[in-house]
Amino acid sequence: MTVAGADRGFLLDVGRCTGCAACTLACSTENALGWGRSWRQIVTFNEERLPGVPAFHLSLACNHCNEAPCVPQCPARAISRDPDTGAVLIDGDTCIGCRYCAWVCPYDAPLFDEAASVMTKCTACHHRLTEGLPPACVEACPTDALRYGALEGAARVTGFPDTPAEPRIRFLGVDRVDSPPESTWRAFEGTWRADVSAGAHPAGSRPNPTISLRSEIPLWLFTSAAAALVGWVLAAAVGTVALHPGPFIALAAGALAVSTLHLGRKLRAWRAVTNVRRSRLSREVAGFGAFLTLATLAALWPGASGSVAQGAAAWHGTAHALLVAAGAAGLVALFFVDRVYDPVCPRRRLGLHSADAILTGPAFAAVLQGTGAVYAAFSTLKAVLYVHRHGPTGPRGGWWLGVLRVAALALPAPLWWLAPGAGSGWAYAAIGLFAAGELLDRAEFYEELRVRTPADEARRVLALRRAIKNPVDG
Amino acid sequence: MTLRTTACPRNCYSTCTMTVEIVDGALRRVLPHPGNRATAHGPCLKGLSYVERVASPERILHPLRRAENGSFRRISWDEALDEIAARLRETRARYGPQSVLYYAASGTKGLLNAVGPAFWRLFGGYSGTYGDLCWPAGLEATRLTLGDNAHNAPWDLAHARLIVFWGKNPAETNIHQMPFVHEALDAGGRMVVIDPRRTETAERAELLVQPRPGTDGALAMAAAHVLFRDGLVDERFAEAHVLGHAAYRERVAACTPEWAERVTGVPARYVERLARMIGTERPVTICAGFGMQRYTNSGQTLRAVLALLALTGNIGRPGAGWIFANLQSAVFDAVKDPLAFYPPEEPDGVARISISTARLGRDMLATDGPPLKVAWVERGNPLAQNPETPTVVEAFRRLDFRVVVEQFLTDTARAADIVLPAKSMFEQSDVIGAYWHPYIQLKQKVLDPPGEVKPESEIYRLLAARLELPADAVDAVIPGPGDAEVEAWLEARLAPFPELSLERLREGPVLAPGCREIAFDDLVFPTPSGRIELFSEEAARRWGVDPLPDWTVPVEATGAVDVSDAAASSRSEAARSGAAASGEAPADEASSGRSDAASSGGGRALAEVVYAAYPLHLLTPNTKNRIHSQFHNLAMIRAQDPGPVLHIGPADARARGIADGNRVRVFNGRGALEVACRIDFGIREGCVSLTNGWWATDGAAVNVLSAGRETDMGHGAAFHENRVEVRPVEAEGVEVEGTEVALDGVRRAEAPRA
Repeated sequence: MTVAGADRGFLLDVGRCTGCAACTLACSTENALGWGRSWRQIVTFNEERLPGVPAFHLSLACNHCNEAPCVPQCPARAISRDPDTGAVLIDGDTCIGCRYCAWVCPYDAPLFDEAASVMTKCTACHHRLTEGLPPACVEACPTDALRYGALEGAARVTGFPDTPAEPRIRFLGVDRVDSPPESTWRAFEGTWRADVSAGAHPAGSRPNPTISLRSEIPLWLFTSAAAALVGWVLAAAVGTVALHPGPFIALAAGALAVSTLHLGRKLRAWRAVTNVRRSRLSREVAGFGAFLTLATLAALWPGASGSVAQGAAAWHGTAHALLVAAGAAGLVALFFVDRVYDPVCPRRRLGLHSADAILTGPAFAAVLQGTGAVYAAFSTLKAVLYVHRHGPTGPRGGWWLGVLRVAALALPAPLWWLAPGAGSGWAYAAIGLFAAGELLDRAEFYEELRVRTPADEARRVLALRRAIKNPVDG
Repeated sequence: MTLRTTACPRNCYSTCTMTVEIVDGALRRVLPHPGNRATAHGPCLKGLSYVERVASPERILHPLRRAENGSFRRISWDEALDEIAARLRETRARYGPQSVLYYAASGTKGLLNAVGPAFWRLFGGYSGTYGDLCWPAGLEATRLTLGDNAHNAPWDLAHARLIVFWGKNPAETNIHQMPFVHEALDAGGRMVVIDPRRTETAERAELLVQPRPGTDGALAMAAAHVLFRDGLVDERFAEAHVLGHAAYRERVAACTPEWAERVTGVPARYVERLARMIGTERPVTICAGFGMQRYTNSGQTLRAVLALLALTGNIGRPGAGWIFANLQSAVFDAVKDPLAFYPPEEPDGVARISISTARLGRDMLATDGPPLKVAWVERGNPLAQNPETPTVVEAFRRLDFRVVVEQFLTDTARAADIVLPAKSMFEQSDVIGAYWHPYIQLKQKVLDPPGEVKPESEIYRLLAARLELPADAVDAVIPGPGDAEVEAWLEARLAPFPELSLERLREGPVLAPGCREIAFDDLVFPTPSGRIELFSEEAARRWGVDPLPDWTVPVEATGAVDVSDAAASSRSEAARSGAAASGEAPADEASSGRSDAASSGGGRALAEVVYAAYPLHLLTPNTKNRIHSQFHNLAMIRAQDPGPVLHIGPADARARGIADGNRVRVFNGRGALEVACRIDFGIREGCVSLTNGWWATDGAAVNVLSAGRETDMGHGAAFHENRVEVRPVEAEGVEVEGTEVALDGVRRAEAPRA
């Protein structure tokens, strides 16, 4: 399939761009984004002027990629390609404000509009393109470095993220920025490696979109509750743990309600399942919905009533089949939960993170049921992943956090030995301890998430160049 | 929606023509205007930020009266003008009209600025300033050498084979020059940047020469030495058009690249390379910046740099020349800069022009007979931008009454008793020239003033009525209140030039009458000798400097300048007194019309060791984000430049235990400030850099550190000669105060003589 306007896009002459930021202001005014806000940003490579490394700027907005990840990943199908100009556009009337497009975009293009509570981004000024005018940023460029037209020139330049998205941007003048000026001042040679380690210079003209626990508390609570609910159903399906319909439905409803708090447009939450075929986020929501439906049906099924307290052993026929199906659906849902974070979770080993829901759900089931072997397997895996992730330095918050975390994984087992049998105070203590440890780890998980941006890429490449150029390191 | 043509009147090279889109009486968009060949691609970010600046919620829209506690309350125009008139009458009666200081700076350009001095003359007189903060040393150096400040049209730079940016960073301060630079480079041209910083412009250069600040003259003299030595001087051109080239050959005979290496810190082989590039490439354009000529030795420095072009015949040709200031559009000026900056030789008894802009605070404090009692400030922010801020603040504090006309509550406005709301550039028509391109432009009125804002011409008329100044005299110099009257006033100024009319200017910029695309292409130089004067008797007579270009150690010499060697054959001991510091001399210096740097008295010769306590040179460059202290209060600009940052090199940082991002204290004997710092691997060791223009409210108004002294010629301000020390704030346990010593004179040394 050919993409509309695939042969047209932004052209940036990196030899001419001075990083003057006129483009960002023109964008701001043209699109009435509010003073100081812009869809376009300047990313500076080598702001700190490392010797031997050139310094230049990238003026970047949305690249309207031919394989734009935001289009398939939008759970509400709010992002589409304009058939005439090929511009990738967000429909503000459909967008639910979940911010997932910002997570999956390698170019840091989508921005949350606080006033409208939806995502917005560069439209390539498609309202101007259709009138035969260039985008406002292009018109405003005082050095004629930014253009819009037929794609020609280099697809890559140092510091620009290399992704399979087929961004519709090309770079001119790349040979102009492959070497810095020869300086007459070289006293720092051989000495500067030690100094630069501290220098974390802002490479972008706007702050990175950060994901933090503070900003994602609804997701933290929702994913933790999801793992707990699935664990509960698993314990009921294969063990003897009771599934009380009242508390289960209350907790499920609470989890769903909390999850919508994360949305800019809460009343449009239902749209999140309209893109199950392509969007990870839709799959998460749909998978969790299917799990809840099956589990609720099982809990309320007439055959189950009255015997629920005895657990799975007392379940019969359709009710039990529903319960097993719910457990299976739950595992699939947790798998989808974890996949949502793939683009922003940099710290997985062997595809797993110690706080992944797919590990927490079964482990919780084992805690509820008191199944030592299963618990040992999952808790050991979690502990190994945790320790491996942090290494000898321990978590950022302090070594005692690490001790707390591992203790919360290790101690539930001795607690059962102390007092076997469900329903005892020690069993509840084991559940509470486990849950606390999981909440702690999941909180760390959110602190570790990171949207990868062109500014990050510029910094990463510069760090490599530092290492290469360092005469001491050889 | 309407589209109108106007032009940006800021103190900036580019002076952009702009198309503005007006929607429902508001400025909606600022767009490029293709009619100006120099700025055809459109204004810079500051121009684009006017949409915020005119509508900013911080803008002053009505008169304000300062209360005891420093807060401001809104007052009516009647209240404001009644109080001002009463104060003026009282002061005039008691002390005479010259007890009123009228201070205007470069905040906005236009012919209507002339109504200020005209009003104060009608008032009976006033005290005013001479000199200028910006560029007089370079203007004077150029005038003495070439006879006039004119250069090739901006677009001619595309023809250069070698471009030397000597202390200029157009990528930030003259971005519209960059397309012509890129054109020249695309055509195979070469480029050198000379700057202690690795600037944005330098990224395009093949060679970045990073000398010690204040030693550029030595670098230029050594380059001239190489030109002579290697036979790279265009003898035929020099013989025909250059006065003093033979004497200059003698002057630079001992200025070897090895000598220059010791003085400038630039390795001799690079001095050779620079000289050979200038001597072998044709044509060569040197673009000299303004920062470099804010040193005590800078007039002579610029003459030495300019000499390189004279010796190689790079004047009066396409792609060649000296790009410093192009005053070809200054057709309305009776006296052209820099002469207009000089105090009158014969005071007329009405206007007392006796206060040096460079020493504003000290001179204000020292003024007597009558002393200053009232100040009226417009288009300026002297409490942030003039050197030696503490003395300026003190001088304003000592006054009885202060009026400031402003758009925003700047440092200066905050010190006022009454603040009057100033118009924006869109709210009154005016005619402006430029100093880079040769266009005359109409800065058109496209908006009505918001709130109770009144243009200065109207403020003066209202004040004149309250002071009962003769109406016909007022009418003769100040246009009436309506747009039609203002336009008639402007038409009268345009009348002598048949090429110019408001009708034509409304459509777009018009080339100044008589302007030449290639300056001096007729090789006629309006100097006393009619030739390019390397040897200038006027330089010696007027400024007391050597008639030939020369290099002397700046007062606040930086780092390891080897003074003993530099002074090896000094022609005189030339110790200079600490006049500025002791506060005695300014008054007679002013009347004699000689700069303090040139006035070498027999006072104490302070050794270089004085500056050992302040081993770092503070560079205070301009940034793309501001014009001096304008613009940075806007959210659009803050998004680019959120706060002041001191740049420091890795070695200097490490020596002081400073890490990237630390807060540091920058101090010298004059003042101190605290800022965040950033390790900059591109800045020369011994230099730190903090952009100027931040306000005291940002915590980093750099002039609390600078000294109020004049340049060696032109009555400029030598406030870029500024030594400091830097310490991490955390390490304040170090006894910092104890190391602070007064900064004043130091013995002078010169380039060696053969």
